[in-house]
Amino acid sequence: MPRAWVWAGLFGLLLAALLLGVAVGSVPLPWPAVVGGLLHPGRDPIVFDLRLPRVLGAMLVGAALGVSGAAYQGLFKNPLADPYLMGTAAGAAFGAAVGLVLEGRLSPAYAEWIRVGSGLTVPFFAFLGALFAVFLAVVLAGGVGRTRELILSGVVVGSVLTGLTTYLMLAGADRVRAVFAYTLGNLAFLGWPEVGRLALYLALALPVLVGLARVLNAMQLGETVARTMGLPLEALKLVLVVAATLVTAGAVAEAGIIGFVGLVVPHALRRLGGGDYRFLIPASGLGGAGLLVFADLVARVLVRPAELPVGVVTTLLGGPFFLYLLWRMRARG
Amino acid sequence: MLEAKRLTVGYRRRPVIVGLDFVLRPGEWVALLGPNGSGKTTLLLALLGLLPSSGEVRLSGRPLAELSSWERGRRIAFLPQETPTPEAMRVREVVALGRLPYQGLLGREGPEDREAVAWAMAVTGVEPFADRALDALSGGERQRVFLARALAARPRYLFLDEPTNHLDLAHQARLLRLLAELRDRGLGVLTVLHDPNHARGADRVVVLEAGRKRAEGGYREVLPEVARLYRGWARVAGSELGPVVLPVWEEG
Repeated sequence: MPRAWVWAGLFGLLLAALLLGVAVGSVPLPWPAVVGGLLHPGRDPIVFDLRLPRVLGAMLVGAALGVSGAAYQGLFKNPLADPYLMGTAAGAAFGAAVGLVLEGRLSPAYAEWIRVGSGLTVPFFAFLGALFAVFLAVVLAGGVGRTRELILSGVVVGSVLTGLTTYLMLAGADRVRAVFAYTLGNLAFLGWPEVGRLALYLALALPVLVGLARVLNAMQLGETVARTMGLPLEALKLVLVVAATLVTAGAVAEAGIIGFVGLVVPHALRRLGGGDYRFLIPASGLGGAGLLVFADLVARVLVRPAELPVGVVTTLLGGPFFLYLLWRMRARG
Repeated sequence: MLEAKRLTVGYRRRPVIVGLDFVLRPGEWVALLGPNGSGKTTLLLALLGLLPSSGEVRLSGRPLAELSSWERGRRIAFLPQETPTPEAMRVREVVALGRLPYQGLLGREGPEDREAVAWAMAVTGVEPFADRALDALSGGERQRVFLARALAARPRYLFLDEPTNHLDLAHQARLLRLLAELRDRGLGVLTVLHDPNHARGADRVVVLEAGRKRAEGGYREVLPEVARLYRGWARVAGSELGPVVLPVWEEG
């Protein structure tokens, strides 16, 4: 398929996601109100204070997962790699659990002080946890040089941290629900401050990842070839890991663990528009943004007036797709 | 001229290349022969500057270590034994990657790059499938695309590690003819070859055994020495095209 069509489709998807995401909710908004509310910021509080930050937040989280998923797939030369591969998800859950348990242990006044003073206790701990997990995985692998070791140590760090999270949940029994809810992924708490932070992470990482897309292309020919072409591969891989980890950690810290977006989106776009990472990374950002808004719509609508955690929706949609990928790979030999 | 003197590569306990002197001139095709584990690939990688080594390697008189990795990438191109097939990439995109040593990290494709890519695709005969996906091509076609990628850097030296592997006889012959043509155009070609008979077109053959140079000279000259390396399992035989080495399994 020509790439221009793919781009047009992605922008169309994003626009549809924006309009539907604002229109649909516990109070359905008519189209004039949607458009009017979007065009005149501040006029309609439902649009501007509730729906819009959630939709934009979903877009940014989805974009972060799509972009980092594409980058990790390139980095690991594995189409089944996903953003959480290096332990970010388990690390963020661990950080969130630490944060939530601490919050429960602290005197209420002190907990309130942290919450108000920083405004980000749990996401902050989750963010640190995610970064810590990747740092640990890289150290255990002896640097970013050996890809297989990196994946293995990421898996090991992930399971150890998951074990610790489970322990914390048992130890702080009153917090089990909160930690559990966090791990399921939820976009309901996204407001303007979260949108701001997510935009910042993406603004920092996206130029780096897009700028190094050609390095990822060269790496697909094998690392020896990439080195003989002159690429200082060790340093570049470290920069790629740091940038991809930053966006993933930001997304998982603000929205919890949302599976399969980072796996499915780059994969589908590779089929549609080809494997050139100069296309794949930005396109996966747009695709992830659109897809997550729609997944969130399903989460909001399916069991109305209650909501499903969006992570449940993406997992239910993504699981079968993953199986389909495995089946196709097997069929291709 | 690419020149190595007293080159030693490997760990202290088990050196893979030991005190080797080696020369490759532009317009010359040198073939490296030797049994498995004799250090052929290691020698290529060391001459590319990818392995720590002692001794000297000089490129046009300058120590290789003094050149930036980009400069090295412009002068020496390398085709490894196996190149993974990038998923869903078009032939032209893959060949264009060969221009990275000129563009650096942030450079963009210019007219010179496009010209070099077109030239490399023409030389290797991959133009007809320039816009096709690499994963849709046969193994022989793919190998030529990867060779075009290497040539797109317009290198002075071209290293190939067992380039005829996995190719059928016709594709082997085409590839070997292409190497001879590139040599005639002034490229210094260095090939590791598994089948000694593929060295028939080379100007010089270097025979390695256990990291040392065992023999060096023209194809016909070194053939008996090559056969001896395989300790009774290979023999020189006459053919219409001249002497060849054949594996021998018959008793006596």
